[in-house]
This record gives sequence, structure tokens and C-alpha cells, in this order.
Amino acid sequence: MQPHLATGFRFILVLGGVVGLMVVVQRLLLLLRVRREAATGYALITPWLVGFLVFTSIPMIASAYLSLTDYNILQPPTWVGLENFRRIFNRDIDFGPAIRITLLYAFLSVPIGVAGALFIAMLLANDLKGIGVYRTIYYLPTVLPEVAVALLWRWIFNPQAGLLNRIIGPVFRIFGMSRPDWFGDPTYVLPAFVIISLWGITGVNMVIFLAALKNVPTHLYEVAFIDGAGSWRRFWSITIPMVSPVIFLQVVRGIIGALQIFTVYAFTNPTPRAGKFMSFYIYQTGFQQFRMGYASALAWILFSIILALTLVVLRSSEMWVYYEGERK
Amino acid sequence: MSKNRRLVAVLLLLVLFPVVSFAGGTREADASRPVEVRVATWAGSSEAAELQEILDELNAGTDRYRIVQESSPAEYYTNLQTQLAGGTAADLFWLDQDNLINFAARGALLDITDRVEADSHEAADLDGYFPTPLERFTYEGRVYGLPWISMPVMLYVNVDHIREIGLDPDGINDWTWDDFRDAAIQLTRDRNGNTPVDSGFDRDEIERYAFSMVPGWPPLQQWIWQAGGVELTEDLVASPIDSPEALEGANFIYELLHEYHVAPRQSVIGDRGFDQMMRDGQVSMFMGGAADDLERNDNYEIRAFVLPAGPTGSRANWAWIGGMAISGQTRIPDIAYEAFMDLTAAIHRWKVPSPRIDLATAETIVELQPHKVDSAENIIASLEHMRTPHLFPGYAEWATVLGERYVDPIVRGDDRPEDIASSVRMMLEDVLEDYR
Amino acid sequence: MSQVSGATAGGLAWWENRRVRDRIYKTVSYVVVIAGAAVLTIPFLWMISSSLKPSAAVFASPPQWIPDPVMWRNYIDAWTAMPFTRFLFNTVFIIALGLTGELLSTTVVAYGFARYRFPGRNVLFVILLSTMMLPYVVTLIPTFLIWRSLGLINTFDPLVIGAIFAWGPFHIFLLRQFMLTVPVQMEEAALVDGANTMQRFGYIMIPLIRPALLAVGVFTFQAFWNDFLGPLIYLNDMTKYTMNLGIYFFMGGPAEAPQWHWLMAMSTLLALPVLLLFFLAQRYFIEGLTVTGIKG
Repeated sequence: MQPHLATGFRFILVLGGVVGLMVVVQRLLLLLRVRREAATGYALITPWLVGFLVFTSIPMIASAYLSLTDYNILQPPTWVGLENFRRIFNRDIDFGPAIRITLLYAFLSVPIGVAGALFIAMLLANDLKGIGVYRTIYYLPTVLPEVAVALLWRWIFNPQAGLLNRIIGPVFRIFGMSRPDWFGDPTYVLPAFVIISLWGITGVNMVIFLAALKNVPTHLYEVAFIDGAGSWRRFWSITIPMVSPVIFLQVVRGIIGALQIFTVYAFTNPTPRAGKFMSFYIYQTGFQQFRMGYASALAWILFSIILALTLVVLRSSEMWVYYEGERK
Repeated sequence: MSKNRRLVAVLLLLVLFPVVSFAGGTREADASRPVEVRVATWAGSSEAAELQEILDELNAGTDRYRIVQESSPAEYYTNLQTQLAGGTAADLFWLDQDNLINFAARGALLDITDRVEADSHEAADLDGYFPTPLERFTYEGRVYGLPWISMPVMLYVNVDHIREIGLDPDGINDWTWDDFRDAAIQLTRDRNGNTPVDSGFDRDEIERYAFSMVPGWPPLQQWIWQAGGVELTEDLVASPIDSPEALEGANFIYELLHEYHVAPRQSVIGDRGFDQMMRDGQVSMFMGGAADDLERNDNYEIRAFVLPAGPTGSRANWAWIGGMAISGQTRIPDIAYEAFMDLTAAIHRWKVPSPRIDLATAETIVELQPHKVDSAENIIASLEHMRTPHLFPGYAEWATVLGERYVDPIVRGDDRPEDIASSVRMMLEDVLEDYR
Repeated sequence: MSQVSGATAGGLAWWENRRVRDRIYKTVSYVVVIAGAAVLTIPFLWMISSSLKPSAAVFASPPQWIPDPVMWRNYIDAWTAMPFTRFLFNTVFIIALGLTGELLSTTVVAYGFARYRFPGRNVLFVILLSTMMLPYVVTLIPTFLIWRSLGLINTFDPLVIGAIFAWGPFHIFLLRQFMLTVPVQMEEAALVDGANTMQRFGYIMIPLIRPALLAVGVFTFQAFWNDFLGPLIYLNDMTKYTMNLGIYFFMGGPAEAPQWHWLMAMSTLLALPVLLLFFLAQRYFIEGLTVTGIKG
């Protein structure tokens, strides 16, 4: 109980501190003759602002500094300049495969995931009987603890007793191939993870699409129908543009999520030669081998990639994302 | 609002934050009560229960200390490092040979050289230990801990299966690689009873495997040694895994696993477990540490034997050495040292085989582990063939490269040893260079 | 199921004109939806089934779907093999604090962004949204070091205190969007009656945004319930472990078999609360997300 009480106590203390801080901020800004509305606004967003400074900005600066050091955590960091990066690009035999599998995974799983979630959401948007039950079932993948999901997949992909090989084993036999050893054979690791990602396309993504579909004004479809547009046409000309902002949001979220996959990898333990997913590789160097400086450098490379991809999507979004407010 | 005011506001925010202080926990110390000494272990649930009995006995016999165990079987070393980093590490911890040097080199362990020299405790008599295990707990000539087990790898054999194929179990101690391979081929059976050398052999439906091996266990190094090769020279300069001898050892395994299919795939073993498959009779032979508990089995008679001899006649096996060290961060070094010595001595009378010369006898093994009665002599015979790798502070990184780049593809059957040996050698020697 | 009627506008049009076509469309939808549901349930059913088998039968081939004998005691054995009552208590404790902190802070911040005009608001909001794109691995190590310097490794603090500082940018975003749909006039009326900020916020805004709060609540609950890496890094001794870490004990090692039956039993137990929560809340939950009219 003691650790719980201590944390509970500190939690209340910090909570009180934040509230106090909000009041202080407001009073102070008023004293500085800031407009009342603005003062209150600043006060209200103070919790996030402080959190942003303490848990985002400072760690980011620290991480950038650490990426230029050699740091084993038990002894103080030593400055090595760009040595970590030089090593990553020139000598690290794990880095190439890690980046390769991480990116390939994102490129394959994100489009499939977003399209699949939209498709399922469209089906579930229908007025079907027992829809609550279906929605719950489709939400299942998100509900199951990731740990449990990873274990289920280990069973499904087991080369001998696994469900998948039981079903597709005969197909492989026709071609004279041995049944795939999903997590054991480097060629099959990526396909296995893409299949796993398929299962996860429902859940939160689906719910968000479902919500977006309900927002598409009914009259648009009616007008289109009267104009003689077929259902395919209505889908492309109305549904897609109307939900395109959500598609954009999902693509960005998907990329970020896909590039950071960790738990399933840790639990299925695939052969390292297929390449380790970046977040796992960072965890391994940082927290298993305690090469914190090196791990920070890896993390920054991953961050740059995410940033670059997001910018690409953002730029391209101007061409295909339709904002109602802009043109009405 | 002027820019200055905004700046002032932001600065005030920054200044005010530290005011939200954190209340730390308090540590109590009471002279009249025994001091609490924490020991971190990797013990799983049953091992932890046995250890608890030992601790209860020790704690009952003294009012100086009270040892409390903290076991974390999953991610033990990650946990240990995090605790050290966070300053919350236990006073004592279990370490194996591979990791001791890592922690010692980073100053995480208490140097006990002088204490041990001045001590008359039975476990402090360094001459009473076998030199190999003791050496693994020293770094640059200083003692950083003491071993409590020094365990050779044994060949566990389902003797019933051996009799089934018409071989004499008593001859196993004299096996060569060829004998081992021939037996393995005969022991492996598919659904229709075919062996790997029969024409209709179906490798997708094997009912019984002769052997089991995953990348990492049993260590490939054993076969390299038995063939007369080395994976790392003593001067820590070269990793000649592409020498003809070293290749011969790796090739023996490659052929056994991928031309004769005598072992299940890694993921099958990972999901089912080595020991369980052996107990269920699905695997006939297995190489495991001398302390493994396979003899205790209702279905089959299982015994441990000396490893088969390689082409040079060597039966070298991979010694696994476990021990204990004291944290360099402990606030109670004196009491912790006392508890450390008593606990080490107590574990010497629990784990077999002991690293102490006086305790490593067949009689002690049978006394402590009665079900090992048929294996005890062979375990003692294996002690002289024990070998350990040459360790250095970068060993973990070096071993990761060897494991992931060389052992993994060979054991999984993706690459033949001769195709990758020279390139992996270069990677390994790169790591060696970094630590020179 | 009236709350979803008229979900597809296309349906409405057909409903008036072409019953047959609608019938076909619906039948196809049913078939696809049910088939999909079946695929999704199989692993779940297998999990439940395995949780009731003896360990060796989990990998029996051909797979055994109905456990025989039914081992109800797996649940008791697994629960007692490790101090799971304690793990559950720890998990609930973490969730309780985390949920409180997250709901309080995100609503307050969202309210600030939704209702108040102040210089730099839009810039700050864009910064907030862009933090969604920050991979946690970048901040993972320094954050660990911050907690270490505060001497709070191996306490629950790193897992919950951050929630007070509005952890989830996506949650703030959702709530803000929802608040924007609430007519300002309602609050202005209150203002005339002399209500202050807190009163307007508490008595007018909060009741109106309940569905969105529920959605954020469900997301947050799940995030804490599923968190694995956080506890793995910050919690060291077993008395502080969470359910997820507890399950990790049954994983075995590279050569040691996982305790499949126990793993499955505990995973089933872990899944049930969230499943139930979603089933009960899904109506409001989807409403909460719908009204926001999520835009990128």
C-alpha cells in the first residue's frame, strides 16, 4: 500500500500545484494588464503548456544532446560528436534491415488498413439487425490486450499446429514448397506482420470512420441519385471527398503507429535477421545493452523519417483532401 | 499585449514549475532489528520457492540480517540495469558468466577482493574452487563475486528410444559425432515410420525428432571447439570462424538439422518447450545443463551422458557458471557481504554441480538430487571437458553479432556456414577492434 | 436499433424507390459483415477455449475446439501462480489516477482552445497537433532520465503524473471539436446571469460534451489497460507489477515453453472488462465521435 499512497499523495500535490499555477497565471497576466479573455485562455491551457515543456521539449533537447554522446547510464555521458551517426550509417549491420522492414511495413499496412477500415465502416453504417453486436465484435481486435493478441498470433502462425498453416499448408504442398515458418524464416516475417495488421484495421479506425460517415449530409446522396449517379459514382464523388479529411487523419496516425510497432514484435520474437522493427531495436540498444547515446541517435533518425513522411502526406493532402468549410 | 509581457509570462511559468515539488519516500533504519538485505534473482516460481526455504533457514539463524528475495524471471538483466540506473537495485544479485564482466567494467559491482582475503568463511577459500568458474567472477585481477554453480552441458537421452532402435545405452559415453548422427537418423520418424534416409520421408509430418536445437541453445561453439576450431582467440584479436576446423563443426550441425531434419523448427520448440517435448517422447535427445531436471519423468527413462567426441577426440562442452555479486551502490556493504557469504555457501549445498572441489562429487549430486543417480558419474566426468568463451567488456555485443548473423541462419537452415563465415568474421572483428 | 437508421443516405433513396435492390444490397452486407465477424471471433474463441484446456492440449493437432476436460481451475491456478490480485489492484490504481488526470486536464485545455481568444492560440494549437507525430521513442530515454533524477524510478509516478499535463493531443483535439459544436449563446446567457468561468465550464459545457468525454474516457482506459512498455521500463519489483507484466511471467524463455493455458486464461480475463465497457458504451461512444465531425 505504501507506494500507492506515496504516488497518490504526489499525484494530488501535482494536481493541486497545476490548479494553483493556473490561477497564478491568470492573476499575473491580469496584473500585466492582459485582456481578461486572453488571460483566462492562457490559464486554461497551462497544464498542456507545462506538459509540453517538461515532457516534450526538454526531453527532445536532451535526446538530441544524448545522441551526440556515449552514455551507458551508470557513468556520465562522454561527448563523441557525430560518431554515433557515422557508426549507424557506416557500420551498423542492424540499421539497414531495421529501417527497411519498418518502412516496408508502414508502406504495406497503412494503405490496406485505411481502405479496409473505411470499407468495414461503410458496411456497418447500414441499418442491420443486431448492429451493436457486430460493432462490438469488430471492435474486438482493439479490445484484446496487445499482449494477448501477440500470443494469439504466435499460435496462428505456428508452423506445425498453427491454424494458418493448417489451412494453407496444402496449397504450399501443391507447389512443392515446405510450409512457411512464419516468424522463423526472414522472407515470411514481413508478410506475417502485414497479416497481423489486417486484423487490427477494425477497432478505433473503424469507429472513427463510422462517425465520419454519419456526418455526410443525406441530401447529397439524394441529389446525386436524382441526377442518375450510380452507387460506384456516388461513392467516389460524395463519400470519398466528404470523408477525405478523416482519411488524411487516419493515414497520418497510421504511419506514426506503424513506424512504432513494439509489443507484438517483442512477444512473437521473430528471427532477428528479417530486421528488427526500429522501436524494438531502439529499446534493445537503449534498455537492454544500455547504450543510451546510440539509442537516442537511432530515435532521432526514426523521428526524422516520420516527420518527412508526414510532411509528404501533408503536402499531397492539398490535392485530395476536401474541407467543407473552405469552399462552401 | 506587448511582446515583453508575453515573454515575462512564459518565464514566470518556467520558474514556477519547480515549485511543484516532489515528496520523496523515507527510509527507516532501526539498529535493534535485523538489517534487510535484498537479493535479486532470475528464479521462476518453483526455483523461487526452493530459494525461499533456504532464506528462511538463514534468516532464522541470525539476527544480523534478513534476506529478502526479489525475483524477476522475465527480462532479468534489463530490469537489473534499470534498477541500477534508477538507484533502486537490490544489495545482492545473481549474475551469470556472460554478464559479470559487463557490470564489473561499468563499476556497478562491489570489489570484494580484500574482504575475501581476510575472511575465514568456508565459501571464502578461493583455493577450494575450480579455477575456471572462479576466474569468471574476477575482472582485471579483482574479485567481484563468487560462483555457486558450474555446470557442464550434458547429452540427455531417452534410453527407452535408444533400446528401441537396438543400441546399447551404456555405449553412449563413447559416442563420436558419427555415432551420434547415425543414432539421430534412426531415431527420427515421420508419420509413416520412415527415417530421414528413407525415400518416402515426409518432413512436414514428423512424429518424433531425435534432437532439438534453437539458435542460441545448445551453443554452436561446442561443435567448433570439438572440431579443433575457436570462435574467438585468447588475445581477443580474431574470430576465425572460417577456419577449416571451425567450419567442420558448424557444417556438422547444418547437415544434421537440414539434410537429415532430425530436429523440429525453432518456432515449434519455442512454443512447445524443449523439456516438455523431451518428456512427452517427441524428442529423443537434448543437450542441457547438468542441473536440468529431465530425469524426473513418469513416461521414459532419461539419463545424462558425456557429449559425443569430435574429429579431434574432444568432448568440450559449454560451461554455464552462475554466481552472485554485491551491488556497488549498496548502503550496507558490511552486512551485505556477510549475507552474501552465508547465502553463497548455502546455495553450494543446493545447486549441482558445485563450483567447489570438495562438493563436486557424484555422492553429493546423488544426495542432493536423488533422481540423478544414473547421471551423476557422467556429470563428474564432464567437468574436465568444460570450457568457457573468452570474455571482455564488449562480449554481449560480439555475441549478439555471432548469434544473429552466424548461428541463427545456420540453425534455421537459411545459409550454409561456408557461405557466410568470412563476412561474419569481419563483423565480429569490427566489434573486437572497437573494444581494444 | 433506431439510433443508426438513416446511416447510409444511399439506403434512404433506395428505400423509397427500389425495394428489391435494397434487399440484395442488405443481404450482401449481412453476408460480408457476418463472415468478417466470424473471422474476427475465431482467435478470440480459440483464446477462451485454450484457457480451459490442459497445457499440453493447446497445441494438439488437429486443433481441439471444445476443451475436454474443461479446466476451470486454470483460471484459479494462473491467478494464484503469481500475485495477480495485487497486479490487478496496481493496474486499477494506475488507471484510476491516469483517467482522472487525463479527463480533467484535457477538458480544461480543450475548453481553453475552444472558447477563448488569445494571441498565439492557433500557433499553439498547431504545435499541439504536431506533437501527435512525435514518436515516443525519441522522448522515452530522456523522460526516463527525468524521472530518475527525481528519484521516482520504480514508483507509479512516471505512469500517471504525466496525465495531469494533458497527455493525449488527440484527446484534446476531439474534445475541442466537440465543444465547438456547442452554441456559444448558451454560455453567454450564463455569463449574463453572473456565472464565472468555472461555473460555465462545469454546469454548461461538461454536461453537453458527455459523449465526447466518454469516448476520451474509453480511449484513455484502453491505453492504460494495454500499456506494456511503460510498466516494463519503470516498475522493477514484483509488488508493483501490472496485469500485463504479470502475464509476461508465463511467457517462458527462448527454450522454455510458455504456459499457454495460463496465458490464455489471463488474457481472457484482461479482455473482458474492455469488451464489456465497449459494448455498453458504443452507442454514446460513436455519437461522441460523430458530433465532433472529425476533420483532419
